[in-house]
Amino acid sequence: MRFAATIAIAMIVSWNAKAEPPLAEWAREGQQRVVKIYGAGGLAGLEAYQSGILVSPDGHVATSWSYVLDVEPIVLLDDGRRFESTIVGFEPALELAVLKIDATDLPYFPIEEKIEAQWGDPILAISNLFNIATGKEPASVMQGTIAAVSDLDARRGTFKTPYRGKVMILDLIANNPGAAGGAVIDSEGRLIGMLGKELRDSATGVWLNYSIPAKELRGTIGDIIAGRTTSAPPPAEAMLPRDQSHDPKTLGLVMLPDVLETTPAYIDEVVPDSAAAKADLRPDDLILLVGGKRVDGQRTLRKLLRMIDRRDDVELTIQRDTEILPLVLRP
Amino acid sequence: MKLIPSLPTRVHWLTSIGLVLLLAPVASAQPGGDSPSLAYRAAMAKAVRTAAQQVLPSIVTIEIIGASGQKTGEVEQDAPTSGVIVDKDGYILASSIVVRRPAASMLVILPDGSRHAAKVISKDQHRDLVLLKIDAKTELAPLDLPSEVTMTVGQTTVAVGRYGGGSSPMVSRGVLSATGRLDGIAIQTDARVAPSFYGGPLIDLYGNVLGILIPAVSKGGAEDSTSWYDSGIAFAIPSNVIVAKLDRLKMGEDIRKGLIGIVSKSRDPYQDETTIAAVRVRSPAEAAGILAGDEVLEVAGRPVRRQLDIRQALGSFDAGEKVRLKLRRDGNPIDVEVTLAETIPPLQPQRLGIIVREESGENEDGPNQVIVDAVLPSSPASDLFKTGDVVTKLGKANVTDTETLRRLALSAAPDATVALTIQRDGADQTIEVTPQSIAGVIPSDVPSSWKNNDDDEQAKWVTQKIQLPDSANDAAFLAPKTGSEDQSQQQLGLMIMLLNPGQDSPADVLEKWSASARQAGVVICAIAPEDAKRWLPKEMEIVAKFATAVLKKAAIDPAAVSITTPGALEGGKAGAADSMALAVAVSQSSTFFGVAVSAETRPPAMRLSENSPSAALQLLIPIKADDELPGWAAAVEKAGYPIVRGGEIQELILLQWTRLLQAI
Repeated sequence: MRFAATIAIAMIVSWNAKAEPPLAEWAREGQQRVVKIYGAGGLAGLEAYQSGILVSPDGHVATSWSYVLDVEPIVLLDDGRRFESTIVGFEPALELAVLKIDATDLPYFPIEEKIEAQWGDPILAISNLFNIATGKEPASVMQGTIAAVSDLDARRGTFKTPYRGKVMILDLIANNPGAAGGAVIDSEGRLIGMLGKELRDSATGVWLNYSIPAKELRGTIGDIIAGRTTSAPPPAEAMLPRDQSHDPKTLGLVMLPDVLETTPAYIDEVVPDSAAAKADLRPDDLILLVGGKRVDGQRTLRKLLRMIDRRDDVELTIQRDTEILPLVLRP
Repeated sequence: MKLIPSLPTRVHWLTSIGLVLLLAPVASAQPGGDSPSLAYRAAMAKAVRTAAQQVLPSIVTIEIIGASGQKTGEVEQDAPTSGVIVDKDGYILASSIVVRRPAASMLVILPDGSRHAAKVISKDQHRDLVLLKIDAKTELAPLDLPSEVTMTVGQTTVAVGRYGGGSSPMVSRGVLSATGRLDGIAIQTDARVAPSFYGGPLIDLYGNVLGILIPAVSKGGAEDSTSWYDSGIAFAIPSNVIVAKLDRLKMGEDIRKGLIGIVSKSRDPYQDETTIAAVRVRSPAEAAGILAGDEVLEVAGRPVRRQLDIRQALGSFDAGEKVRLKLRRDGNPIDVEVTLAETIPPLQPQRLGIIVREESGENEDGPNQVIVDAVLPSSPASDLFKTGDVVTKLGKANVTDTETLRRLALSAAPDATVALTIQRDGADQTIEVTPQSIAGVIPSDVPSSWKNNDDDEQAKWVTQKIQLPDSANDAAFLAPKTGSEDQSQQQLGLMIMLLNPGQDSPADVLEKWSASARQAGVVICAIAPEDAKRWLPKEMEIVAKFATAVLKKAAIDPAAVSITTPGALEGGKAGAADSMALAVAVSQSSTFFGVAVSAETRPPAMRLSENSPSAALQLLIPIKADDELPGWAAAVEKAGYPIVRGGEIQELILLQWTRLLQAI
């Protein structure tokens, strides 16, 4: 009798789920798949907690790679059960870590391959922001929309995040202390993203509300769970040694004396027969972009050139009076 | 603890689910219900995208290259923001954030990704908008700015902009929160407007442009105009207003807020009082023939009852625009047309040299009388006025209260003779007097009635600690014992002295001031910062609250309140207290009428508002000649603050100057 009743309930619930359930249903299901993570921190305004997402029935938890994981973290499930966890893998370039707890038959989010989230889509964000939920209290649910899908150019304090892929900017104040690692789900209850750490946009200086799309994380999470060594792509913006990279000199540029914090990248002189001279760069040209990246001053120019191999071409966009000219400098 | 619930519970649960199932379709059919259905959310998402797509071809990203100068606030001053194409010739409207700092170049990124150098054509400084121009060879898609917009508070609004390296479309949805904000220039929305949206449009769900988003906060609401980003309060300039201004902007004309130049009688902007106490010299009000004593009834057809109503009614007018005022003069309504100006010559506060008191007239219910109490030696008034004279008129304006007389005198034209009507010995008399500028050498003498040389132990002043409920500052004040009836102890001054972080305790500091304070008749309140290392901006208001609290402890004239520092005295050094005192004096100008600081004071990072005759502030610094003026003095004088040269300032001189702040 008892069993029969249980099965009946399960059937009703799943049928209900397919027949366009109210939002509340997804919210509750999402909460059951979000965990609270406690670890290192607690000093100097660094919180010792964050959120995580169950990504396998066997206790794999995807979360944000952060100082909280400097010690083996404690994971609290939605039902209040408490587990010690081990870090089975991480990928700093994706801000991702995967933990494992010793449990089975857990509710989890499969990470589907083909989910296209676009700007304007409604979402739910589920996380333990501000550590408001403790013990078996469920995580907090917030609703909002995707404001933009864009490249990330961000930092935290003075430390920039290594992540350089697409992000979903959220129209929702989502990225609060403790929210990192929380789930972002779409109107069909599917996991579409993981809330990121508190970050500031390096171009505007403002705090960002963003999430890393699930499809960017999918491959790496799968590799970590399967025990395959993940091969992280080398960070795209690695600095090269000085004697291997470009600098204004290698290109034949003499810049205006760099006296201000952001001295504009005006060309003072062009060395005859240099790459710059061949590309017809002239004194008083202002360098706007290097390889499509904005040059807000000479420091940025030198930094961007440090990332380009001395043997490679350099793409510049310059301004001469009111004209904007794209040029290629061939060493 | 039972792990498996008993059967009855489960049955009950089953019934609940059945119930939920029955309700679910109903819920999804009601988008406005408690739980908006998925269908509603999906439909909204689609509507938002469709609306945004209509304006996105006109939205550009504006990139600032090589910005220089000082940064303020959290938001990067060269942050990429949005803008809109307003016509096919390449005019682009953006927010003022793009010209906050000088930059080597400004680029417009069109929706096709092409970059174009932009030049600034003109600025609407009243509305924080900037008109740019690019020479684009491609076909541009101008935004359709309607010249008439209908909007309802509560309707859905969508902020649209572009973000990031790829200029990705970005939206934030909210509602229209209010109209007529920021003194009538802006509409307000709760959409989360991040700096990237500034310069982008705020639209409705049909894609109609309601306005262009600007960085703004309310007057005094926050340190920086970008401080309220993402916080559910954002402003846009309505489309119809932009359409009306666009031709002027295209011709390269800058637009500024229109100023009128009237000084209100009431210090409290909320009081039911619209009488004009004084008219500023060479102001539009003067040119239009508005007189002190006129009562404002209507501004541009809007009835006004308070000073604040006047400010709000005038708020949306630009310099050069005409506005009609209905006034009441001598009981008769008159109409005047004023052409507003972008500047009014800075105030050069004037003084006659009299101390007055206000008393009820012979008729108890009638108007009050302003009676001369004392005359300052070697002042313009010294040989002309006598104690007991009743001032009834200055020029044509009737005088029945001290504040009106003060404002009239303060805003008098420099070096011009004014006629005062007085009653002396029961007869009317006219006195011609040329007021003196407050700026210049510090007055060296005080009225003889203020001098107090007796050594009566009973009358000795006492130091007491004072605390405010919402502050942790250590503070003490030195004042007469309560209940003192001594006539020389009326119309006292109050000097608030800010101590430098880590100095002696306020009570100890006051110890050495005891004799001079009583001799000068000035109550002193010394305040230490809450933090042992610095003064904090939040303490500005607290300092003013201390002044208000001490005002009640003795017979102090509320116009004789100064804020000073140990750095203003001979041999004093500039410290954190000096910058703080300047900041407090300017931001709390209705409490303080004089500020004395070191000549080496580091000016605080704040906007200097114009000195107003309704709360006029003077600055005392310990210099002998004008060539010793600090670098920041020019800006202070230009904003209408008189600078008094104190020479080597002794304690007694500082105190006497404080008490003399009440002189008219």
